[in-house]
Amino acid sequence: MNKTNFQFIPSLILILLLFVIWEFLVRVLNVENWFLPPPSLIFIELFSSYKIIFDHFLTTFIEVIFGLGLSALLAINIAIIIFFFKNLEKSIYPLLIASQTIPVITLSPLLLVWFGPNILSKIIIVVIISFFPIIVNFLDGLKSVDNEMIKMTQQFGASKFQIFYKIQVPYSFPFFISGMKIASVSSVIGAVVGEWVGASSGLGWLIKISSPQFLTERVFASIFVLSFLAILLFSFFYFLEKLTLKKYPIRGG
Amino acid sequence: MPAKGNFMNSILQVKDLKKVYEEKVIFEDITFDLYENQIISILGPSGIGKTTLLNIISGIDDEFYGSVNIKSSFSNKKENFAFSQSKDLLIPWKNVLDNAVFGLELSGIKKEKSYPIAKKLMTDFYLDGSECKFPHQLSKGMKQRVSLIRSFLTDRPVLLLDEPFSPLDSITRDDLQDWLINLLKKHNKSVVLVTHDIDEALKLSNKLIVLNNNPANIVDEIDINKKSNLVNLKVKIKGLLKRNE
Repeated sequence: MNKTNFQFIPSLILILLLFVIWEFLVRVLNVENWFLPPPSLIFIELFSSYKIIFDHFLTTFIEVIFGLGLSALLAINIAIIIFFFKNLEKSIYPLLIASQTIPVITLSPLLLVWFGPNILSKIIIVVIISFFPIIVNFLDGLKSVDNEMIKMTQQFGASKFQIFYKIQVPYSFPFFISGMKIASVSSVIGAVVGEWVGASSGLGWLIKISSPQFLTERVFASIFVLSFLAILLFSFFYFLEKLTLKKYPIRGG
Repeated sequence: MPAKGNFMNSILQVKDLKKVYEEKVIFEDITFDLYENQIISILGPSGIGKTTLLNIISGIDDEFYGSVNIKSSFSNKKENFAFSQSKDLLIPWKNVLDNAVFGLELSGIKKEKSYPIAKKLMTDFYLDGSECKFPHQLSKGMKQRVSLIRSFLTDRPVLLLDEPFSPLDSITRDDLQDWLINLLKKHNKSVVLVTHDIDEALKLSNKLIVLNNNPANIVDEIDINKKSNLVNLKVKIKGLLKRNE
């Protein structure tokens, strides 16, 4: 129990160590602040302009949360359709894979034209970038239920629908969470890409306008916050996954 | 020794059963009757098609020649049979009690009704006190008993057991066999047991059906009663089970 709770300590030590080295090198080599600020200045910036950063964080956060939620909904539905209509798998799956090969940044100007520079275009980009791993994982879960388990439920007279929601869905829940874990990280990237192309707020936008002004501390502060957000989301699903696997030890139990 | 009785009422008739799989005959000419409260063991070498036979009887597999008739009022053939196999197939996210009532749950019986019925049987299955445990916290023997209680609770006239004890160590297996004999005596079930373990078959059943040859057929039928000389029988069956390549 304690072991899992303190797993993050070694990486925390490493991060601190890297910060110390960074601070040291910047000071010793006399690097200009606009070129590469030392971590101490970045943290000072983070606290002194927390109001601006927090405002923009909120925009990005809302885009990510709505995008991720919509992405999960969409992915669940597509996965279920593919699962029940095996023939559709052959037609839909290549399309889904193709959608993943398109660099999202090339789509974002189009979405901007179609939906305007509002939050909707960013949410759509988040969905595009994050729905795929959820579909793949959830579908894997639905498919990997032991065939004998299904036969057993049939023997007890279960209908196809009962097998689905009493066995297949609960069984694939940890798989779904694992997909969410991957999606949560890319969703932050999606929001930033969307803001980069056209927005009036959000951390991506803040970075974009701060760097030509040589507000490099602010750029770094924003990057730290973004990466913190991604880590937070990832950890949330990571612990949820652990929790479900503890309750349903479906792998190797 | 299992329960005795005059097996007057035949409840299951298997006639001229033949299974062909990928143009190969798996078994043929399988004919036998199962009477009320009778326990029949089907013995045969591994891989001879015993599980397929049970699947056909239970209605899971409906591609076969011949007939399986059951005396009952159920419209759906599957409803006559409760199945238990060597894999316990418990649902990992349900506790013992919820696993036990799973068969009832599927037939739409509410938990307020099914829990008391299950709890009454827990003692007979040596499971009282473990109701809230999850499958991964149970021993293999306990899992098997949960799997059996699930089959029992559906209250179907015929119990089909497919090598239910084969993954267990010999001591646990022995205990479970003794326990099963008493349980079946108490609850009046008719059973078809499939096994490749001669001792298990001799211990549990009133009648043995020995399968062998390729394609498989019935090489002998042996009634077991108090007068049977088990040692001699075992030697005889061992001879019957030798693979004729």
